[in-house]
Amino acid sequence: MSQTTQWSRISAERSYDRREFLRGLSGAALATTVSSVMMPQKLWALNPDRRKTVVVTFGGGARDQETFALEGQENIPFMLKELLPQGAFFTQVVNRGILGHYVATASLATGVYERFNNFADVAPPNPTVFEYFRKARRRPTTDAWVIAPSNGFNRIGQSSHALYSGQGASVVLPKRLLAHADGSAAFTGLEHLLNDNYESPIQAPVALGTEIGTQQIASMLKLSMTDFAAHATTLSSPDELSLFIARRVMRQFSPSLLWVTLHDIDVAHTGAFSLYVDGIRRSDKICAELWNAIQSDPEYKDRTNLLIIPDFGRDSDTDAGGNGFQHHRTGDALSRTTWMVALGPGIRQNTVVDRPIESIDLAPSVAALLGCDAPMALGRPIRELGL
Amino acid sequence: MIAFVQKQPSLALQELPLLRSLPIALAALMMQQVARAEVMFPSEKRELETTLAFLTPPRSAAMERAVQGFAALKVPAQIRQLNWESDAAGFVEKLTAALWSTGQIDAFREAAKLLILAQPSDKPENATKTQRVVIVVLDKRLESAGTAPVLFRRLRAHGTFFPMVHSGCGMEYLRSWVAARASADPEPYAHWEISGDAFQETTHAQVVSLSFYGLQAARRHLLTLFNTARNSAITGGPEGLRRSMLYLKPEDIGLAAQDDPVLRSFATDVLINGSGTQLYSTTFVQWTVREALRRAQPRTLLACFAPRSQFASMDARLSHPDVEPPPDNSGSLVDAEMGSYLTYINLRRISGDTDALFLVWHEGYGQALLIGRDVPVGSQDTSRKRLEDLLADVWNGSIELSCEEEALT
Repeated sequence: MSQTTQWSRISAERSYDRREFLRGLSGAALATTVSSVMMPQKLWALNPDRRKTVVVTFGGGARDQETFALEGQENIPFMLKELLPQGAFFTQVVNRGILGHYVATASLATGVYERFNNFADVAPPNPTVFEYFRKARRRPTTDAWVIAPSNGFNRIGQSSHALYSGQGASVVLPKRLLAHADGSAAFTGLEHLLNDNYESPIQAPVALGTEIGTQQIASMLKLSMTDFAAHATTLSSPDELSLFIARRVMRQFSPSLLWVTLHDIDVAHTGAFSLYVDGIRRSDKICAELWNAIQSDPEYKDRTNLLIIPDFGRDSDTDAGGNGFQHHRTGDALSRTTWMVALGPGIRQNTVVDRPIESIDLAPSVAALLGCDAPMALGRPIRELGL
Repeated sequence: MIAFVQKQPSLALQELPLLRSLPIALAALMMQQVARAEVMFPSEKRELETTLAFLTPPRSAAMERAVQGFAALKVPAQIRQLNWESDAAGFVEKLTAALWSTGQIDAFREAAKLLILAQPSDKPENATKTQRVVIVVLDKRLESAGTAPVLFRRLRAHGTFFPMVHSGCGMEYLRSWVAARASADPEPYAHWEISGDAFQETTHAQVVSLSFYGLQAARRHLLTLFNTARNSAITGGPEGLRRSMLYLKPEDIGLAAQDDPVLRSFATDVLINGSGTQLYSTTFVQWTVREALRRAQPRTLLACFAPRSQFASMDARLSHPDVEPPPDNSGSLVDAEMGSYLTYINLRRISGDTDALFLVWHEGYGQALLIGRDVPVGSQDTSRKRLEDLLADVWNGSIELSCEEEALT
């Protein structure tokens, strides 16, 4: 059996497991299986100027066992009970690229399996969805934002592609707002919010000047650093800090495209299973809070799609080349297979989508939701999103 | 693997003609192993020699398919130019990155699987004379915040659950039990005890003993090295650090005092290659057990999960390597449960071993689970048991201990 066939089989098995689990959990109403003949209505496509999209990626793959499989359900109560009934669940998202968080997130954003060094301080070579959107729709820089961990993600918003120069997203690395230039905490007692790199004791050197400056960000967000630091003391993790900034960006700019990359889950690399599960639980709660923020903001309510997708999975317990949940190094089927939750206009509620999609389908889908194309992306728009 | 890689032991010279005849990716992988031969455990050295014998022409059709799988990999020219004979570890490090970036990692995985499958899994000459036994203990300090938890759910389907197992001497008895087995079967590296705490009492001479706090000085040494590296402009980022780790020697992290070169190298590997083993005792135990099972294939292994420290930022841990945060008892219990499950999976991976016995026991809650050939699966025995009696059914050596019975919590 070829590797690809084997992947497909294992991915399909995971898909089946997820589908059956959801059927058992939520009853027949949720277990509607979308086929090609059950297309959502395309009414949403009639009013592209009012559309908004919020994308949440988990930079730190989450496995079935700890999320949608039976034994993992206790870790994602908000997604299961609040979000899934309002949205579509894609059981089989396959990532055929490099399983490193920065390069995989860049692949999600460009729609191309990027091949650059995950630890290098480089911009994606292919245009990002932020650039497609801004250039095609002639939107200002304040209409596309990225909130990301600081371990190399400072270049995620703007590709190096010559045709899209200066069309990237505004990138906020929230932890930078709390740190000195050398990465140390600028405020006493907030060191725990600066964690962002669990794969290596040290980070890649980052070029200066590739992101908006801290003071400029603070000014744009009308954020007093003192108040920010005071609020930060109430937060328990870097991802909660990202949620705080995301809300602030929504309030100040109501961007049409907001991309939030969470990263707490990647603490799994330390081998402490409980910390990994804690990260999943926080991410679950943050996703629900973000959806509630969308629904309570008139600028976003009823015109916003929320797409939640881990960048990939993690190694299976049974692959001898790995060490279970700890890493994503084997490239086995489970480390390459994940899921997506999609909510908002045009998306059929209480729906399970069985057919496999690829992680590079995200960028052209987001572009299409926002009324533009992603011409260099190699993925395909996901039709079940109403496209 | 890391230690002694630059030295060319005799096996490397002996096998060089064979290795040079192999596809370069496979040659480098094998050389990486061959170069470590002097610090290998007997069982892993036997496996290496078996693989080399199967790779020597004329090969079986299955082995030839595996070799051709490696030959089909397109190794970039800049990697081919590297000297895999003198620096196999460095070569493999760069090869791995190249295989990912060129989309060939799956073809590599497939070839590696074929290589393993091309060798017979049951090796009668290596069969254990004594039943292999792995015992995992969860320290009584590992406790959930609320009521007594129901433990070992992942393992229930594989064996019999005992909700009431008490012991008079607990770890003391178990260590004596391991020592007695070592006395009766005194083969080198065949009996191990691994702890997330420290061993207070002297270890039996034939028992390999490793503990998180026993390696405290080495751990701190390594964290200091990390801290120095991250503050150095010439480190080269995570990959540069990783490369420099490839060439670290035991003496670089203060392990020179360990007399046995094999154990010296093993302990160094655990701390350098095990992500998180320097920081969290639960990770240390899980990874060390995994590596001991994989490499040394011990006949007796006693592992004890103790409380790990609370989560603290990497910056804090590297800046202050001598400061251990306070314990996280409930988080450690979750870690240890998963660690027990992974230990069972790793035990099952030892080739040709169908007769092993696995016991996990929480010394505070008194819950235990036993897995073995004659043990009912998916079963539960609610009668009150003594740990000593459970083990006596497996092996009843001469152990003299007098302890008071402890009440179950």
